[in-house]
Amino acid sequence: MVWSEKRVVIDEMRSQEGQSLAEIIVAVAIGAAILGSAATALIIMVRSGADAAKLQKGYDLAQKTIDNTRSFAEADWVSFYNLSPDSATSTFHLYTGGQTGGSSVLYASSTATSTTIDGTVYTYWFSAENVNRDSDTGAIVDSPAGIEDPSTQKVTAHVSWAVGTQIKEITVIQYLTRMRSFVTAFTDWSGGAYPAGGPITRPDNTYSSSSGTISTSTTGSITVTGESAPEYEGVVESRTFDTGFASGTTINSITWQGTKTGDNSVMFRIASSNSSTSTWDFKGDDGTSNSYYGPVIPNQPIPVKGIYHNNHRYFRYRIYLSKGGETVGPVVEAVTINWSL
Amino acid sequence: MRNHLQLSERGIATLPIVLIMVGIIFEVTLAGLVVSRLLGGGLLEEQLATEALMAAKSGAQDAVMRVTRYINCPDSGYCPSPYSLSVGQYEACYNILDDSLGTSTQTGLTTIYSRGTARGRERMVEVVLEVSTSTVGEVRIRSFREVGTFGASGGFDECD
Repeated sequence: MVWSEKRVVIDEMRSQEGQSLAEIIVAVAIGAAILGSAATALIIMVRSGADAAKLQKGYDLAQKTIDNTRSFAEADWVSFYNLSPDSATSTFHLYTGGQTGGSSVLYASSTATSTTIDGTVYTYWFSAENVNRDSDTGAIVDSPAGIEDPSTQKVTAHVSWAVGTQIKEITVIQYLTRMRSFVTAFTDWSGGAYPAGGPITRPDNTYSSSSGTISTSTTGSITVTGESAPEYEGVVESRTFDTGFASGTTINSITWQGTKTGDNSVMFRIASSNSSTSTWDFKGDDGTSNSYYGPVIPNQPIPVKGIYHNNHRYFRYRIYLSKGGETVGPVVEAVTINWSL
Repeated sequence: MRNHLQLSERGIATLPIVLIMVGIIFEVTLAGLVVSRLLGGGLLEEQLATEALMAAKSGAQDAVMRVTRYINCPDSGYCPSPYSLSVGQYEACYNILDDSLGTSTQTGLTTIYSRGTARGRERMVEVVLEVSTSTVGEVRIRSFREVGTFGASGGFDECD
């Protein structure tokens, strides 16, 4: 190689000096960018996964809270209904205690409670609200519309936990109703009036009092024998019935069986109390002594406004019979009271 | 083949590397976002499933209350069926099937199907009640359970 050729090669080599360094710098920069992006993506993934896991645990706790509250309500609706205050902002939690026969019993406390799962502290509680229903349709309506239904409560389970400096809170809603029902059927009044008798725990053939022109002497029926008043011809007031539950019950409906004749031929009023020696305040469907339940046809349950007879142990009914302009009056063969614990 | 680069060819090795690396960065980021999205979507599904079940149970409880209270269910007055109930942001739709009408799947019993819906996610609860005809109005709950939303309804009528 001549000198001139060697010179060209040397110049070309000199012109490439530093290329390795530049590539290293570029590679390091790219590598840093890749690692940065990957790290960011991984952080997002891990954080999303952790947040998702926490949220899932939150929903599990909310569902558990609702399930426990339902168990509590089914076991003792009155205690559940009497939780105070009754509002969307009320705070309660359930705890087990009072081992009865080796079984855990749920009790309510008016505070929130917390639990730690995988290092995260979850605070959970529930609120219970009264529910109103439309008087005509029974549909759930927002207060102040309608009338309170003491056999329905709106339960909201709340769960909260910290996410950084923020507090994350979730809620789950469920309506709970009083589901244990009983029926008491009165089918015979032929034993006559027994006003001095104490409360009965099962229907017998006596009643407390009567007035007007009615007959109860035939086993299994009450009939109208004459006409004595424009509104009704006869009234029969039952003995005091003891449901046997000191914490109280509520009345769902009243049904009668027999034969209807004219308009307004059979109607009812209900009285209830926590004292068997109470002065009985008979009420109709507007909660006063001026209204009635009915008239309805036989075998058609008449919904009773539970709020007027809520959480009472004892009840009486009055049955009002009228010929309603017909020559033959109605015949009542059975009166059935449906009530819930 | 030349064994050294021309002056104008400097950086020719860096360009494909940069392009490949940018592609990798894009893939990694995209994968992360997809995974995050899937996790979030799965979780949302779980949440909605829980809400739908709560709504279905609320509907079932309301239906049991109506049967207990009004006995002659369904009817157009106090005990309509199908019936829609709002539960917070979500909704329950229930049917009350009376065997005397020939629509119940179980003879002699009243069956309630309550479907909870939360943004398209559905859960269904079935309640079987024994309503006494000899003792008017006595209602006993025979079962209260979740069932599949398809094929188990025995003719589920949709709410409006």
